[in-house]
Amino acid sequence: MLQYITKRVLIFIPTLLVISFIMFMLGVYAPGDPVETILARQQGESGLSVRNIADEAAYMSVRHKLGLDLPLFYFSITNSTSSDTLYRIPKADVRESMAHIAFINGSWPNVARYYSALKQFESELNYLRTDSLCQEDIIAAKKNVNELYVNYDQSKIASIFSNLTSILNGKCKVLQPLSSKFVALKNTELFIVDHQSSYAKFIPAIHWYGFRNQYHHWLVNFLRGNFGFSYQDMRPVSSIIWDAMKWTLGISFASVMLAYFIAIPLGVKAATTKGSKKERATTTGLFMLYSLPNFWIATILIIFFCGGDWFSWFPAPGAAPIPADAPFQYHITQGIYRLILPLICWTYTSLAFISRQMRGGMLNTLGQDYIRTARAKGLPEERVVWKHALRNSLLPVITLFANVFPLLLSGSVVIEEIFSIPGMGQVSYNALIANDYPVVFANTMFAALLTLGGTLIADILYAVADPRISYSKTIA
Amino acid sequence: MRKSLCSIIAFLCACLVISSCSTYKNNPTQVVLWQLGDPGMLNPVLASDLGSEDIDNNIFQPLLNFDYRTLKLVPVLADTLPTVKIDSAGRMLITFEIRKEAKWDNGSPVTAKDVEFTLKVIKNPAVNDEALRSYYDMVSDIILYPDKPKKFTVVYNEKYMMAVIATGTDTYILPEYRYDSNKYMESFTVKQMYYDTSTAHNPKMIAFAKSFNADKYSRDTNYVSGSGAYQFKSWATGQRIVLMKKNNWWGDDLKTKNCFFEANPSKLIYQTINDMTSALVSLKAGNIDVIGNIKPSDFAELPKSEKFSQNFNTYRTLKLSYSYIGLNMANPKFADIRTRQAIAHLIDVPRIIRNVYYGYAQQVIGPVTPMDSLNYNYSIKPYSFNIDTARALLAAAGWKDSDGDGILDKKIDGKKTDFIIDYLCNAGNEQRKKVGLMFKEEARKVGIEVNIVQQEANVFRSNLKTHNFDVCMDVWGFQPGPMDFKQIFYTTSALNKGSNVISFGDAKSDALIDSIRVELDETKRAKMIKRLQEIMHEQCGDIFLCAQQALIAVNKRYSNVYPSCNMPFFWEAGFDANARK
Repeated sequence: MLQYITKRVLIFIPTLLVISFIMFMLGVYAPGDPVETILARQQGESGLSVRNIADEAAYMSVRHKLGLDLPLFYFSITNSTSSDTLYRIPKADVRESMAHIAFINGSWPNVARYYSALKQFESELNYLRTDSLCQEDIIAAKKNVNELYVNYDQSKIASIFSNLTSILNGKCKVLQPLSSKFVALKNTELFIVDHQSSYAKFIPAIHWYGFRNQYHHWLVNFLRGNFGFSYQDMRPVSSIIWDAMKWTLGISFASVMLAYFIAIPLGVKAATTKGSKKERATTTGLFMLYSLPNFWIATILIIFFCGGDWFSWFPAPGAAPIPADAPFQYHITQGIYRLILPLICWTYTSLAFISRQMRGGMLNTLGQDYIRTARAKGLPEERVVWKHALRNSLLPVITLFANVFPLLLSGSVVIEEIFSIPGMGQVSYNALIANDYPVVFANTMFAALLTLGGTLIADILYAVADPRISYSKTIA
Repeated sequence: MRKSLCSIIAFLCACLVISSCSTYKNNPTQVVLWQLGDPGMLNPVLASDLGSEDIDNNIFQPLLNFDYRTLKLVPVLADTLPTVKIDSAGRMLITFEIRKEAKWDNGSPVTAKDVEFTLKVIKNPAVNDEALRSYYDMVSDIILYPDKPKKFTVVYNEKYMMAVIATGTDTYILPEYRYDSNKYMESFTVKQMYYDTSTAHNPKMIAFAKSFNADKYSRDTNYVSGSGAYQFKSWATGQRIVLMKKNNWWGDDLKTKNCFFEANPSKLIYQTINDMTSALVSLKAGNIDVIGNIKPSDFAELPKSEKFSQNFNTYRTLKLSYSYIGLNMANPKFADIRTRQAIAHLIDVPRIIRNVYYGYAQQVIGPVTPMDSLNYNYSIKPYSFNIDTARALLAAAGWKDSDGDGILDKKIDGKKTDFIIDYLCNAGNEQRKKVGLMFKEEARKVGIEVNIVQQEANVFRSNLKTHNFDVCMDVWGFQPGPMDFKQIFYTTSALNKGSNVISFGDAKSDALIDSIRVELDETKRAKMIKRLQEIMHEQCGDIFLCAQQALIAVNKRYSNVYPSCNMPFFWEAGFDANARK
């Protein structure tokens, strides 16, 4: 048994590594740029700086603080046209465009030279004061430079160059000092085209970045228990998760217990009184409940029973906190009192499912020979069912239990929102819509861990519930 | 088995009975305010969400602020409004003096040194305030006066219309003794930080930022502290934030100065309830005293509830924002001004206000609030809803249905192009979707096909900034006081993912915006702002729809409640429960 468990736990390691890798890559390729999300949040809906140089500096600064200026992984496998320094270009659309030029023309170093010439030309352009007489020309030039950053099509680039040439040679004297930089820029571009090596894109290339990469940093920190900082409010992820976990663990644990506590007797009862009117009524009732969406039930319960326009039997969400100086039993009763409605909504949907499984398992067991023997011995029916049959009919319910485990952590977005419980469901949901990857990663890793743990525990429980199941080779 | 079940049920019932006759009731002099979610953090330099700002306003104080009653700029920590001088080098010198009564929690006076410290914090490049910092790029120095510890002059190295607002209202002054107990920043000056970029790499600078960026200065009651009337008492994540009125607060004697010295409630409690329906039930149940920003549909329903109308007053006030339909002017389909004007004639704004906003909105013609009587151009008539005019304009712009498929087309760059456009809005926003459906319906009548595309908020925003859309609907919010139009309407703001999403403007409008920015005389500026509105109306890149009203409910227990278009639309610390009952 111990050997089996050790083996299973060892298999966890590669599984978790693969999950973490997939998670990480999905995060990288998901739409939206976390740096821009953070900056946009800082700037609010309005209040954006217009000076692009300042924007660029802000962008680079945030990117560096988040460690997003490092290469993604330990190595990259590409074709020879791509580069080991491409990741240094900050903005994703520019990066793509430059990679594309390199791919078409087959040489990264030439493209890198073109890129830096472009940057130099732009910075010269930015130093010109926009409110001089030539403002219109300067803006047109800037627009064209921006176009250059994101265009890789040869004919398009050529047409932008001709635009720029006519602007620089136009009536505006202020722009003339830029001519030398512009010629240099054009030459780098010509150089790319003249020194094409089209075969390069068919040669694979591996770039080794070593341990200074985003994935490694994240993984090492994760193993050390440092899950990073939320992009949303810069709080440590561990403290965010811990705050939310307290609520979710408490409520879902109570809910799971409650569900099993109610559903198992119901299932057993249904099996023993199979076909009776009462049984059919209960089953129909449970399935009706099952089919009612819980957000609807939750809203209905709040509107009718929480002191709105109808009954005030239960406290509404956001009730005043329990005073710290209140007696202990008051804390307990108030706690339970406040949790009754969320617990009902959290629990009722699973009743039908669990009791149905239990009923099936029980019916199966009750048909067995040893049950007939027990009855023949003259044991009371109650004892036959609860003592002899129950344990053997628990297997399907245990299988369900394995799935319950990750649910313990994930919480329920809907119920938490409606009852205003600051649990994991809300944390995950908010993190997802805000592209808050550190929180999303940590949550997913925990969920993965719990799913693996859950299946392991279920396997062990099988052996406990049914002595015929054993994982030790000696017995087999 | 059955017995134990019975006893559990009996226990639960007992709990119910005990709890429902609970003896613990809310303190009547406190105010419980609803919030949809927790604010980001209570650090006024790092935080940027509006929720944080509302709470920060009670803990910290800026030098100046817009009075909630009058919307006029009034002195808060400053004694009077500042004096502004332009020196021979064209620099702007803004001189303030801090109120002589102003004190920190430890009893020491608020001095010019604290202002200097705050500016240094904002300008420290390692501090996580990238966006705020860019507003202070132009601040090149602060002059202190050794004989007058409360007087100082902030130096802007160029003339800038927003300079007074930025230093006055955007800067919450931090107590140096509390936020920099290690005196890391003491050895630097603002001037040095402006001229010498190498200070950015100074280890002291980085050590300060590390400590300042940390969690404790954002949510720990032992660290978060300012000169405001309230002290930060507790924060239960996802539940509530509690502020407590300070005993013998220095501003108590200045009550009559302006709204910022009215601090009546004993406690301000910001209660998080994530669901609007639950929040309204909670309001009726008496758990919450104030809700701002009620949905129009709910607001129309609320008076039907007896419990609500017995206990609550409702208030409405125009928000400082406008909703608009943006036409991408860089898109060749909208290159002709007549096409854009035709689209404007297809939008029935009064009907949108009626059906989408339940009447709680006011039509606008430009990016200025109609409450700003000085700057709003009342002489502009909005485009009337008229399909025939739209048809005529489209025909004049060269759109016709040449292939008889019911959709207009036109030769653009030699290619026949059908008039099929995407209307972009963010997913989950029902109001914007409804506006889109109404637009689609009318557009179909003239032969334009509109597809409504709802996108996740991040994707939506990034598509706007890269001009990757045909038509979009969005809302733009702003602060009271002068507006800097450069941000949204300047041509360079259309580049590099700026906020000019529709690519509005040409050299003429840019020049006008530039002169608005540097004109310090209000009446001269108003004339130019009115002209800018005319240009915008004529160009019709943005079709301005309406400014929404903020819909508020406040418990009748309080007096001294006045709605304001300044966020969060009321000054909660002014609510007075003692006056009645």
